[in-house]
Amino acid sequence: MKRTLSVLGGLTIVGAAVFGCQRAPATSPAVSKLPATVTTPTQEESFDVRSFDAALESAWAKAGISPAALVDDATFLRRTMIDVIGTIPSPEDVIAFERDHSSEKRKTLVARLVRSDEYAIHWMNYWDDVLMGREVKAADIDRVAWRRWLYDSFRENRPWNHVVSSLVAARGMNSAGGPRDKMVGPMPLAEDGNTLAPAAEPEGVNGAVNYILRFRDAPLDLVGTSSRVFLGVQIQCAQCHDHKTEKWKQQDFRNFASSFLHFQVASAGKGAKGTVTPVELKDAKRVFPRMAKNPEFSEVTKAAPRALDGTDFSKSVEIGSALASWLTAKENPWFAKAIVNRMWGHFMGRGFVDPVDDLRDSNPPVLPEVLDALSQDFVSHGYNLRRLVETICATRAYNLASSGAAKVDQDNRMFAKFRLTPLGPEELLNALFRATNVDVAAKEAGVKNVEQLRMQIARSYAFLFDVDEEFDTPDFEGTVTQALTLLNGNLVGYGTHAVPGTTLRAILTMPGDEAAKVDALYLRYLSRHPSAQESKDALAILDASAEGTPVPGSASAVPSKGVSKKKGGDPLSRLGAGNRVTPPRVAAFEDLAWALVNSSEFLFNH
Amino acid sequence: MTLLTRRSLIHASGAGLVSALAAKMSERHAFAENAAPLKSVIVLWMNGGPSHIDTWDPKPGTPVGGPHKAIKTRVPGLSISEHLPQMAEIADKLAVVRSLTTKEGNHQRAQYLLHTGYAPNPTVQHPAFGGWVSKKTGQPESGLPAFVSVGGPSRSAGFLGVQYGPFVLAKGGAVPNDTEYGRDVDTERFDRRRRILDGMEASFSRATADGKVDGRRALYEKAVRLMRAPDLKSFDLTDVPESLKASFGDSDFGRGCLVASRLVEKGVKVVEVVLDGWDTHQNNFERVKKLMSVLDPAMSGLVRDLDRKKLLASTLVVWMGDFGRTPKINANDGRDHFPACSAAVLAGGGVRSGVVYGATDAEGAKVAKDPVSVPDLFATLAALVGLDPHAEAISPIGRPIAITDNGTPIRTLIG
Repeated sequence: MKRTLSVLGGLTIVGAAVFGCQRAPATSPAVSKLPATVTTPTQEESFDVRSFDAALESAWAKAGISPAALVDDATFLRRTMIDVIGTIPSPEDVIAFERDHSSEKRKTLVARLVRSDEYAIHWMNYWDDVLMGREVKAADIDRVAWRRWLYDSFRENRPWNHVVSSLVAARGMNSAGGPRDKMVGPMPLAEDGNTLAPAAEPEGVNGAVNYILRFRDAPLDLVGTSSRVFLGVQIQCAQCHDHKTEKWKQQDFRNFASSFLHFQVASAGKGAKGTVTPVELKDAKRVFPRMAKNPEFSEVTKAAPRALDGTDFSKSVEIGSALASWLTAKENPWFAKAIVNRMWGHFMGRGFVDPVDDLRDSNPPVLPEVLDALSQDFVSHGYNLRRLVETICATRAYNLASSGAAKVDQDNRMFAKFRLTPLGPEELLNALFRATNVDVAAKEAGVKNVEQLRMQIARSYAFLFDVDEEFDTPDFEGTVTQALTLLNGNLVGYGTHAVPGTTLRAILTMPGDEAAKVDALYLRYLSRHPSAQESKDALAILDASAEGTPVPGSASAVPSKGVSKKKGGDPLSRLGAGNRVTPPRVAAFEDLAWALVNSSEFLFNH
Repeated sequence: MTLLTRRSLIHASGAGLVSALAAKMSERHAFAENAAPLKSVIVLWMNGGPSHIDTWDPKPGTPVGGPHKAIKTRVPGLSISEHLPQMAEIADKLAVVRSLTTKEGNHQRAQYLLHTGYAPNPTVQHPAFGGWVSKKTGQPESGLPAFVSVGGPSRSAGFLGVQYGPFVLAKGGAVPNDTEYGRDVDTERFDRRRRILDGMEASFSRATADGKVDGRRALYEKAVRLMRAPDLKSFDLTDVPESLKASFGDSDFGRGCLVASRLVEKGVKVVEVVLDGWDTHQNNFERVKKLMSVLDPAMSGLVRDLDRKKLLASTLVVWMGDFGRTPKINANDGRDHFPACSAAVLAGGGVRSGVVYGATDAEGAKVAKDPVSVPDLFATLAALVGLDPHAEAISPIGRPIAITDNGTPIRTLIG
């Protein structure tokens, strides 16, 4: 047990770095800056994956599939940290994990991760993206309050049925009138600079209200989005007309829509310039009165509020609450499956049902017995998301290697091998910062507002590396701009320069021979040791460089042909300032670091 | 093979519908690759929603007309804003649509609609028009991207996949970001780095036996091909004669238009150039005048340049934006969002030119003649470019999505 704790103490997680939360200084020793634990695991959170594994194994056997070997510890650690908290392990994490010989260490690791602050931040970002999206901007949307609400939901591990009820029937004030910030603003920090301050929302403010406000200009999309995300039911297809092949008729849509829209938005003051306009969402006896005037919506305002199975809410006092109860009820055939399928899809790269939000009968799941069993288990254990994550991470499917000559079905639809998935923007950026420490280097080079720089980079990466993880694509999909950014962009370019503050500089100045430095480089960038062959290859590259000539810095009198000087505007370019001549051996290390960051192994979760 | 590629087939087989769906697809207008070469499109996107009354549909002397005057053009019966004098001179090359009408008065929704031809719908990410073209044509042999957007993000190719989306430039006039080597890197060092990377990729590809790794390697090759494409200099206006540059006006938008003209010359199929600032809730008249002083030389310069290069017949130029603006002038001397009436202008690409299509009433408040819906406008664009407006691809949830939302091409606009 003591050993386990020391492993966990090694996890100095910096997932929050680019999203506005301070991180521990990079130079701090890797001792316990333990993420705050919110709840201690209790008996009812325990879980058992044997039945799920048995179902998986029997399905594989029946299909004549031999699954991949179990994945090694280092890869499991990286995979799990990316999926659960959105960042890669540090060398200290890797070493501590490999020194831990407990048979339960994977389980303990995940238990630790799901109870960290970074877990709440990662899932806040995930759901912010799914439910709100980057593009939404409106005077009455308080993104800080909204994200705060999401963060609290995951930090406190609120049961999923409560979370969804709170969203679809959200009532109250949107905002305490905070500044309107088009960028996703920094969240409040506690004194220790690492965890977020306890919730301090004024009376009556309910961040979840912002979810509903997002749809003010297109209220029917509240219905379509909620139904798609929370139930996996694509009711929106029936918005305009009946489809011959689809189950849902236009009238079903109207009745269902009506049950979402029994509220009104009341003005709650004007709000100062540049601040969020405060409004209050209240229950109403009729549908959103403004809508009656619009011919597109008028049919909905006339429709009785009903659930998809016909349950009539007309007699309910609070129709929003009645809807929420129906939606999240144990008897609802879609509710638990939709989230279990989505979470499975996040961790496995593909849901049992693909896309994850399309649970119609004509799109049946693979391994339906596993999806059903996991869903029942989720319901009977209180819709506990954290426990669901722990369960999925403990299944044999999640513990399989992505490599090896496994005999799998075509396109690996039965999860007999771990699926490669490209890192999303948040994960990629966290990984780049963690591997290079480019932000620390920027600070040392005199960049004043590193926080702002992080935000800028986060914004551009969010746009550039946006990935849709709701459906699986067998082929790699990427843009030329992404490739150019990684090949020639400043973040990778300067991050892999051996300038003060970068991890590469620290590696070059550490004691030890070349082999030790190559080992440190692999640990830092790929979160594993190099193989004997890789080590040999790297040393050969370093040896070959001895015959090379120094690489002149850009400020030297005669830049070599083709050397670009056009990087002036970016604050990161300070990192390359000065008349720096790079010795060939250092340049060779930079080349290795550059290649590692550009490698598929770095850019995929595997 | 149609766009029923692997993804949709997998999806269909998941539904146990492969043959049924394939049969259905052949009856429908499946979105096939190849066919006759498409024309190019240059979209001049007026971000924020340009006032129709203050540009192409003036109402001088009425309470809604504002202080600006109208001028006659070369086309009998067509008067436009006095602040578009050069456009008036080439009006015989234009088709002006005055009766575009939509229901979307919110910027995000309207921008989605006017880029994809569809109202937003949470169940599907519709491809931008440029995405369809890009999917159809693939990357030009020059190594340049098929779809470029200058000065704004345009819109993604939606469910068709990110590789068919726009290559986005913040500004036109210089080579794109990150196509040059980073600091302290030259050709020799870049190639050395790539050799190291190749070694790593080869072994990871062997270990995982996953096609996605090879997909990434192919993407990197494509990026390097762009970096080294001789035609990359088409993006760079440094060596372009000053007189030519001057004819487009001294503005980012003007330079973007000149770049667009140079790109279609090198096989780029879709270029969007963005002129932002049309959301004139305050101080409308001064701002619109200034915007037109940028628009007039740039757009006329573009049409003339394409004409001079004999590219006008094979290049469709489209002017449009979020929506029109209210006839009523508000208390801040501004105009507000007005989707009921807006204007669009077409030139080149086989458009019947010298035409005014549709009309608004005396106050520009209602479409009085020949209303044009966005699906009809997009069907017209598709037909002009050489796409079947009803051709379909299968979205991830198995629904066939056509290039246009049941639009019908407007024959009067097709020459």
